[in-house]
Amino acid sequence: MPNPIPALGKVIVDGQEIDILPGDTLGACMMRAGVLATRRSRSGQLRGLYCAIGVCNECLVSVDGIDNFRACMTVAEPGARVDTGREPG
Amino acid sequence: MTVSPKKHLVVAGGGPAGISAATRAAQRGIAVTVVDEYDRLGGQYFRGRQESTAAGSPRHFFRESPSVQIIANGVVVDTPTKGVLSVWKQGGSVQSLTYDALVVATGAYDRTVALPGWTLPGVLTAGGASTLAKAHGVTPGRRMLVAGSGPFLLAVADDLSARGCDVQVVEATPLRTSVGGLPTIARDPVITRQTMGYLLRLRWRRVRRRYASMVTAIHGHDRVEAATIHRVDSAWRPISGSESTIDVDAVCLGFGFVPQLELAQALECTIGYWEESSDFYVKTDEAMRTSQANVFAAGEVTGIGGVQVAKAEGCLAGLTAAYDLGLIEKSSYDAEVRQLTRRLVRARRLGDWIRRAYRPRAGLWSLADAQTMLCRCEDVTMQSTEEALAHNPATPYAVKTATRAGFGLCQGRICSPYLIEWLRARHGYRVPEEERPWRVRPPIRPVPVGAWLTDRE
Amino acid sequence: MKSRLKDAVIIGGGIIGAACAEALSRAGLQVALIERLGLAAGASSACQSGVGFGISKDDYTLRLHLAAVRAYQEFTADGTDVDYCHHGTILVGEPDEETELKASLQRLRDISVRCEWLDESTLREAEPALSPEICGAARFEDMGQVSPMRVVNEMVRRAIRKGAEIHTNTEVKGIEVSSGKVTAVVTSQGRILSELIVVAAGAWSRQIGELVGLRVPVWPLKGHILVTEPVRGMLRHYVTETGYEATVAAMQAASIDAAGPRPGSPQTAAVLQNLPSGQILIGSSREFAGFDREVNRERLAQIATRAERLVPGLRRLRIIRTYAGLRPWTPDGLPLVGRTAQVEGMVFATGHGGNGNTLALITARLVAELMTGQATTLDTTPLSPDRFEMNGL
Repeated sequence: MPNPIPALGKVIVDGQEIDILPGDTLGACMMRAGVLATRRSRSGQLRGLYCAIGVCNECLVSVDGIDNFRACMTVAEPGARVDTGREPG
Repeated sequence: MTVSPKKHLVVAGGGPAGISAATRAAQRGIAVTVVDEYDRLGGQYFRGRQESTAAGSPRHFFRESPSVQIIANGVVVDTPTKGVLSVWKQGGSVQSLTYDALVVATGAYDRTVALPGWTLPGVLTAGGASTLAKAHGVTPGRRMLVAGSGPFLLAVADDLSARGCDVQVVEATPLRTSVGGLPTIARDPVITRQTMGYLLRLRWRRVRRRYASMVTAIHGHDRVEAATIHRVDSAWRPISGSESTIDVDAVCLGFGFVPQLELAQALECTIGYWEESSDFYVKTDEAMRTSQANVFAAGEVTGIGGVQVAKAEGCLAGLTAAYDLGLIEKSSYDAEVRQLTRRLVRARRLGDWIRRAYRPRAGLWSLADAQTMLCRCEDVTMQSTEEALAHNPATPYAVKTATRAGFGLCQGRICSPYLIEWLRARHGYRVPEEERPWRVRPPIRPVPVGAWLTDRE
Repeated sequence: MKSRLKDAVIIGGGIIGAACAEALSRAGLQVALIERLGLAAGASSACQSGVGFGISKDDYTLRLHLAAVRAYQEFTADGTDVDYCHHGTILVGEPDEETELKASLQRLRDISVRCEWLDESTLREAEPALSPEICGAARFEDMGQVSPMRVVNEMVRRAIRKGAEIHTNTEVKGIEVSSGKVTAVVTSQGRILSELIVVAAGAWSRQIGELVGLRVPVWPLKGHILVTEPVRGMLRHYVTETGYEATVAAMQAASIDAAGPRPGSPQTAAVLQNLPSGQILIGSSREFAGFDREVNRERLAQIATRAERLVPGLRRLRIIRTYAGLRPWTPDGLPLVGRTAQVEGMVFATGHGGNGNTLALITARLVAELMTGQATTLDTTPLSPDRFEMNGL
């Protein structure tokens, strides 16, 4: 479905550029780009957004080298470097 | 002449209940501060509905109550003493808020149901999927199931199918349950219109609805690839031989909601529990007073009831706060209360019907197998849980200390409501009167160490 | 529970009681463990859990702790997983303590304790998260940490396999004594006949002692912990500061009146424990506040401040939980391990202060040795309950 709203910029998720639309959280723009996995759990399982309202803490990503941002609650800023698929803690 | 300072009401939570309370109280001359964790008001209900101007909506609120203070991106993290709250603002510090009255309107989140494959990327809560669709126009996949129980599934299916997704609804109760609610729905023209809208649009978009069915397993390697659906009996137990597996790339699980009680618990408000529907709630009197003086509760925290109940309760809480602070004459208060109470009673009819009709049945707690995760934060499986119970009494405390379930970032918000019901259904656990649910110490939400430091020299 | 006969009744389901239950049932005794709430409901679920020792000048205490650490190494040698890690401990001192610390390290090395002084560049490499203002620190190789809750559950599992009975949510209502000998324990679930009672009730051991007219010198010493969100390998060691031992000493200096130790000033010292699951437990504090387990916000702030001084990177980590626990404090800082002559059949395994986790296994071994008439791994005279005047309430 073509999206008439112009992109605000891009974030870089695991090296891949992803468009940001106005109001996007990291979780939203990643999901729109088909990137569902946000981290690996303690036992190595891939996880992604689950509750999407900041309660479950499954969507934790690293942003610009700092861990434990909830992708569903973090506003997507152009140029942010996001890393996923990592062990927590 | 001394002017006595305005009384100060803090409303924790800026959803429909909170902003209704704030509006009503501000009208009566109280200084009001609303604290909400998002950057805009409206709670989950108004995500993606910011243009609404209905009573109880953010736009209506701003028009009617321009003088209300708003702390956005803020969350109450502590209740150090009576009349004082600690509020943490994202990227800021912890500030103290003193209050003469407080309305707890902290809302709810989706009830957790653990089943095989529930932790795969692409499995979201129904509430989560709805929020993402409405607020951001994104969906977790293109071909998905909206599975669970209750009319909310129709709303979510509507949101997702509106964005071009191939959606199937999987409702655990039989069709006659929903049909049985028609008389209740029919008494409310707004809800009738809304429901008809869902049903017509879903039909138009060829959204299949299965009844007396549940998703019993979700399959996939790195993400959702397929799901197994069983027909279920009246106790929601899968009927063997009735399964079918279909290709999907996302599953939205919606089995109702559980209230965010941490603030109420930190304030030591009495918490109640309805055994028949597995619901914890903040106990209030008919005017929304909790067991703590000058603390009121409104909205989903007093019992999941939907937006109309939330608005009515919010109005009642704000009004009663003003009355208890001496700002309204009794006759005026009584007249307004009567009116609000009538509205609330009407609104509760639907919420009460939904709670009873779509309450979790025993089979829901038997979907998880040994490998299914109980605690997603610490990766505790159901098998570890069973092993812990081999030499421990069947209590949430014992499971927690033996397995570390609940020790992670979400501090048990996701796993503990499920664990309690699982223990009740499978190990005879009874929720005791005096332990509701787990003790709450600060911080109610995570706060950086930097905000705890004492002043440096 | 019908009246039944046991070789030993253990009162208390924390790490000490659970370890004793395992040791005694392994030694062939029929054991019943009685716990008022749930397993590990006391200090064992509200503590930090380093396994190690302070730089104590007291030779006996050092030997006790060294034996305690060895006991953990032996216990886990077969791969038993109780989150035991011996990643070592780093002890940070004030600049003017460097000479004294180095001397202490030499004395320890003389008795084969593996420890060393790390100068600035070595320290930076060994523990990069430490504040750049710290120019040197002591490192102890064999210290580490363990999960007390996992130890409790593992010990209980093993004890049950050897026939022990575990009774949780069961209160001790009374202890029957006849001609100066213990004969039975009366619980909220019935009576248990036994001639041997092991009191491992932590901060509540004094209340148990009162049931037989003994004044057990154990009182609750409150501590606070802040728990961070999980972080990947922020700290490689258990990190503490010399100020910690000063806080312990300050508490030992408390005067005791009829009501117990006089409150005095609360003490805080930084102790940092990075769990295998990623959270950092940030301690520590000491104060006498009775049995109150509500968290004191000021204390939490004091602990956070001291900790951030050592590890500035803590500043941006979020605290997800706080709690307070009650250490079982004794006036001389040593636990009560062994029989008392005051009541035959009454054995104490309690009063471990802030060392319960470290000393749990060695305590259980000593208790089992004493109860089965074996030679003890080390001299238990300094731990004798009768070093205190306990007679007559």
